[in-house]
Amino acid sequence: MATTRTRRRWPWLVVAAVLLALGAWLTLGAEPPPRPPPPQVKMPRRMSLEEKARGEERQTWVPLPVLDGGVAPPPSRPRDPVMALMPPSVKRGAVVAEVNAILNSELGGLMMDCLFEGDPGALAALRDGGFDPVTKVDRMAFIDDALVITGDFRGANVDRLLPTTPTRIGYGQRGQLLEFPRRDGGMNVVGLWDSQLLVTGADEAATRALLDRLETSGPVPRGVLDESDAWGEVYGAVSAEQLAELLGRENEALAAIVRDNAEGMQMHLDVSHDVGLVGDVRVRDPAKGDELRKALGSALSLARLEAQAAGRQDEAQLLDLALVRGLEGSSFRLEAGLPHDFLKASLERCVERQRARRLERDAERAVERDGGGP
Amino acid sequence: MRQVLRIAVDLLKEASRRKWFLGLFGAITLVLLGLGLSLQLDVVDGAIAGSKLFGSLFADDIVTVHRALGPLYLSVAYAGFYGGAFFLALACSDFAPELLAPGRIEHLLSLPVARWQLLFGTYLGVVTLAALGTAYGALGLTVLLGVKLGAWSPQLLLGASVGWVGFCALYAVMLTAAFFVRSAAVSGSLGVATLVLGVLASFREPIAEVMDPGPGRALFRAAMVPFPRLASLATSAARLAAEQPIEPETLFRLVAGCFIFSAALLSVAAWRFERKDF
Repeated sequence: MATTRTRRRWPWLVVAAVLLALGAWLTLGAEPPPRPPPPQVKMPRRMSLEEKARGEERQTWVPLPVLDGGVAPPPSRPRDPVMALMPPSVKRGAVVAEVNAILNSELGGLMMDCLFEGDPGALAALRDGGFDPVTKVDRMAFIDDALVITGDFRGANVDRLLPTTPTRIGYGQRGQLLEFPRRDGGMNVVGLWDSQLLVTGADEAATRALLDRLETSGPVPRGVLDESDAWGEVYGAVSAEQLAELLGRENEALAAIVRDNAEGMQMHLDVSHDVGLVGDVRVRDPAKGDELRKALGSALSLARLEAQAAGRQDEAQLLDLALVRGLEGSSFRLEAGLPHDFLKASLERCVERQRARRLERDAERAVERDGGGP
Repeated sequence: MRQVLRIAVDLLKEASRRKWFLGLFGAITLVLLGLGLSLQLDVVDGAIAGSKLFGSLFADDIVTVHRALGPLYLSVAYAGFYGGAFFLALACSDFAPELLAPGRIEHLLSLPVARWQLLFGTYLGVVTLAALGTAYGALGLTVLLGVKLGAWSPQLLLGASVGWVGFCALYAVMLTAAFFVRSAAVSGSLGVATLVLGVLASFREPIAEVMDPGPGRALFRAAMVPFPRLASLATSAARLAAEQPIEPETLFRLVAGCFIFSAALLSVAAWRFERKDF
């Protein structure tokens, strides 16, 4: 009897079924996790309508005209007092912070905690003096060595905010000079203007100069900042020297290029959610502007590479947000950002540090007390 | 194994004479040459300080190379995955039907070659062809940008190789289909259909969620289970190319799933081939 050898074919199907099942099991749920959206930072590139309205509301101050031989000068336009006192030039910079907006932003609470967690007594002392910085301060301006605080000082007992009771001297149309002695025997002078503006310069002359400029009527040279620059939560003008110091702390070559080529930078920061920085850098010679642009771009790129090589991914991601725009006329724009989550984490670490310091100090005091006891 | 390789090499020789593939390699070469000659990049310490395309200013901003190239690699990887899969599904659709053409198959079967060797040799030849095309494009762009930027990154090649795995699954379906219906049109259509189903399978749960509860939803869920997650694979390939973080375990499961799916389909093809009379 002849036998025929039949090839068994069904094992192929069994293998196929087993493999299909295995493949299905393996890929079930194998989904790449949704990628967190790339950090988007709002850049304050121009004045918003809200900021325009805010600026217009602040333009309330019209100095009394000085009659020159009985002839009235043309009426001055209403000014924002902070902008009215800005000098035409600065050595280091003039920066205005919209404190109220910052403290009432999403991260305002954490910022306050970061400032005062280490010394809650300081905040309590301010509030006892009828001055709650959270509700009463509107803006703070740093003009070289001078500090200007705007807000509502009407209910505040300013005397209690100072180390000793000051002597009050009327100054100009609405100002007052508060004089109080220093430890070295000299006198400190703080200017209070219309219960809405506190001014303290490097010395008395500087304080007086700021108040004088504020109350000057008629045409004056444009200040280093004016109403059209008031956008973002922090804005200001920084000198080339200051910019070189800021950018070239660890890079002398970059600092030298900044000093040689930059005239200064006008900057705007938005901190409403993330921190977005836009800086317009003015160059001395547009023909050499590219040298400065490339030096800045190169510094950013190298910093990113260093951060990545060191495994500091957060920092590398931040530096990826930075860019240097093209030269337009005699200036170019620099943009950089800090995402909200990064900032929040940094502030939380700051609060923790402050809290730890306070607890450490309290413990030391307790030990001192116990040691000094019976 | 030698027979499998010989068949694969024969297929590559045959492909080299086809206009489709000459056109593909010619197009890749033209794009690379065009970019190489027309793209001018001003690079300073790892930052792109300006770029010109065909002599016109393309971008004037200074950004880090990573920021500039990330979106480029991402889009190239996505375009390469879907465009490449679609093109190759059409261009490779008639290899298997021609293999099975009357006269040719009888001749091949008269040679000392096992049927499974013929099957796997054909599969290996086509996926090698796809790998060559993918590698040529990815390597070309990597070299081009490497020379222009002075910074070398293998990420695009890695992403492209992950994308190639997706085509392996498509061609397994196409080859298997040819043993049931000897038609280039059917083979190519099923390749494209598998691509679409692979995308749907990747979004199985979100799609099922919007369906009315009932047997339709359950059927959809069950029907999508065996298909490889091609959209997820494309996403992983693109993220790999753009140096974005990926989960190695997920990537392994997606890639292994594609290979296992391909092996399962080839087993079906082998079963069909073994029992088919010519």
